[in-house]
Amino acid sequence: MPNNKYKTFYIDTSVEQLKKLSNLFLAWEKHSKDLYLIEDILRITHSMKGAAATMEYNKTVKVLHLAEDIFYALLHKELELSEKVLDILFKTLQVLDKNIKNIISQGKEANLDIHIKSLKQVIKNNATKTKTKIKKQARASLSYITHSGSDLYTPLEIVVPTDRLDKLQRIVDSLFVAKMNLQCLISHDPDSTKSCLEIDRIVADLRREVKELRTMSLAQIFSPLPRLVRELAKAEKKNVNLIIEDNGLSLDKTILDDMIDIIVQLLRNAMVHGITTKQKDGQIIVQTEIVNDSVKIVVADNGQGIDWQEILAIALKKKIITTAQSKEMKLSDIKQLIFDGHFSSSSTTSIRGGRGVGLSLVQKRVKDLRGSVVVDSSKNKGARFTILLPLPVSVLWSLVFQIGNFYLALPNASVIKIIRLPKLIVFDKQTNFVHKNIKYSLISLAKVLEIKKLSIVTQNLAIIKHDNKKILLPLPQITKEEDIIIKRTPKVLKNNKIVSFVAVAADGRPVLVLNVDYLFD
Amino acid sequence: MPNKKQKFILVNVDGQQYAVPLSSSYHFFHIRQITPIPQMDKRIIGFTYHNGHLVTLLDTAKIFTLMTKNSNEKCAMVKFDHHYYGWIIKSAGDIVSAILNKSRTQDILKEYILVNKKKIKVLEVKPVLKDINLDAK
Repeated sequence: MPNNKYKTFYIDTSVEQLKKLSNLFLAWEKHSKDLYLIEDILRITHSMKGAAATMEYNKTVKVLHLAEDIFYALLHKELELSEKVLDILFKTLQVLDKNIKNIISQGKEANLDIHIKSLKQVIKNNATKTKTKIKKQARASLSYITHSGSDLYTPLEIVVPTDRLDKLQRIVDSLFVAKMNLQCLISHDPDSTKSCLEIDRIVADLRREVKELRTMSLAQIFSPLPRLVRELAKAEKKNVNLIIEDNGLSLDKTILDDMIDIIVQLLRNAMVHGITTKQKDGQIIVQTEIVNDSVKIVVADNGQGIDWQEILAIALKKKIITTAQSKEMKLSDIKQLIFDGHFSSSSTTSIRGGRGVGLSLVQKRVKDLRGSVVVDSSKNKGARFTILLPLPVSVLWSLVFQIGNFYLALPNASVIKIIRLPKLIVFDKQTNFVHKNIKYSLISLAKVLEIKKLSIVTQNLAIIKHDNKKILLPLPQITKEEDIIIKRTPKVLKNNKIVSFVAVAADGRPVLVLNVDYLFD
Repeated sequence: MPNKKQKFILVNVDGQQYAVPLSSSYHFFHIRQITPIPQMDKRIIGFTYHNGHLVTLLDTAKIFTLMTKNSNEKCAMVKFDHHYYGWIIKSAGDIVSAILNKSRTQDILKEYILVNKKKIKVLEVKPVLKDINLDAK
């Protein structure tokens, strides 16, 4: 009976090792003469076999053992690396992936018998060349292979479950809030302030370390993509080269899971509907970069592109839009059609314009993350999807104030300038305000929050910018500038348009972070 | 096959008794500060912060249309679907072991336990969120 106590550890480790194997396979496909790569592959396979044996996953052990036999034969040049052998080894990765998923979902190994037979067949075909003696010697010496010529080999890592990291993050955040609270209380005592500065430094170091722990490199996250494209290209009989430009970025785990799903969906679309079988130079580029407070993801292909007139025709045919609507549609409206759920579910795979499969899911995912997706494409000129996702931040420098009973925050990033008026003004029903000969629209937070009979008497006005528009927001006379700690958005805020998310202020009180977009609506 | 006994803590809300299942995530505390939420159903009072958790406070008395005397100031925190919720209560009482039963009534709360032959409803977050129309995933 497999030991359940170590199952999670086994799964996490196996997933990581499979990713590394995948990288090594892809590198090996290009540099098949690099024997160090096979050594690294052997080392990981051997380690996986040991772990599977500990867990008593005997069929998995068998698969890994047979795969090892093939690698030994390849290492000792007893077996030639043919396309067929390479395919069966890539298939082994697929089978092991599926097996792990089965262990996660059903608690037991998948049926591996067919693949075991295939691996045996490869070995049998080369039986005369494969010498058991060499194998045994090599196996015995495996633990002593010290060379790690390939950059892809990394030393043993400890797998920490994300929920443990979340817990650690929560404790550090609480410490940070407590520290801010303490700073407020003792701000007038010089000795205490000195001690507080020391605590400040320690907490900052701790927060930075936790942040590092939560961060993963995109190179690591993107490592399965080449294999995915390779498999898709084979299935679709297409010739595609995948170029990944991750710019050496590392991001917080909270955004990575969603991000990789979006990219995989767009890659599939590019592969299935963008690149054609006739193309010899099919190319898909995945680019990521940081732009202001967002991560920009571009998935572009040089395929047949999207024929927007054809998209319009399909939408009409599928009755997604009426003829009257179609006549008034601008290109930007037509582009939105491919993200329509009904369009996506329609059968459009055979036509040039039909790239809709799964795009509605992409848009939904992006919207859930408060991001945006834009598509640029024209017939025969490929397609380019650009996604902007706001970076997950845990601390936000904000303006914090209270209106009525509501405790609110406005992120400093959305404020261009704070105007300090020479005297107190009552902001009641005015809709405009002139400052330095510029007329601004005035937003009343009391009105937004549906608080009746509340006037704001203040000297403070914030100029907020959004999409080239500027508005003025009267802020209460007592408005503080401080760091607030962002918390996981509660479910009850799912449909709330006024509040973007919730944070915790220095006094330990939850503060509602205003949705700036809504103020402009 | 008979149901297994589970542990519950009895809580008082405006003189009415309810039961809260005991789990590792439950916690009782005095509410210090509440942040109300705009555009929100009145049965959700707002948020509070406790032990590093952001807690959505449910107005137990309003949810079950009890005659509130504003005497409820404690919170019974529970974890549901990765989020923390707090039932506003007056006080917490005994811990009991009982079998969980399900009634076929139209009430929001369908689960109950029997303590000294008396039916005590079990506070559940899921049907309440559904009733407030906030359960959409």
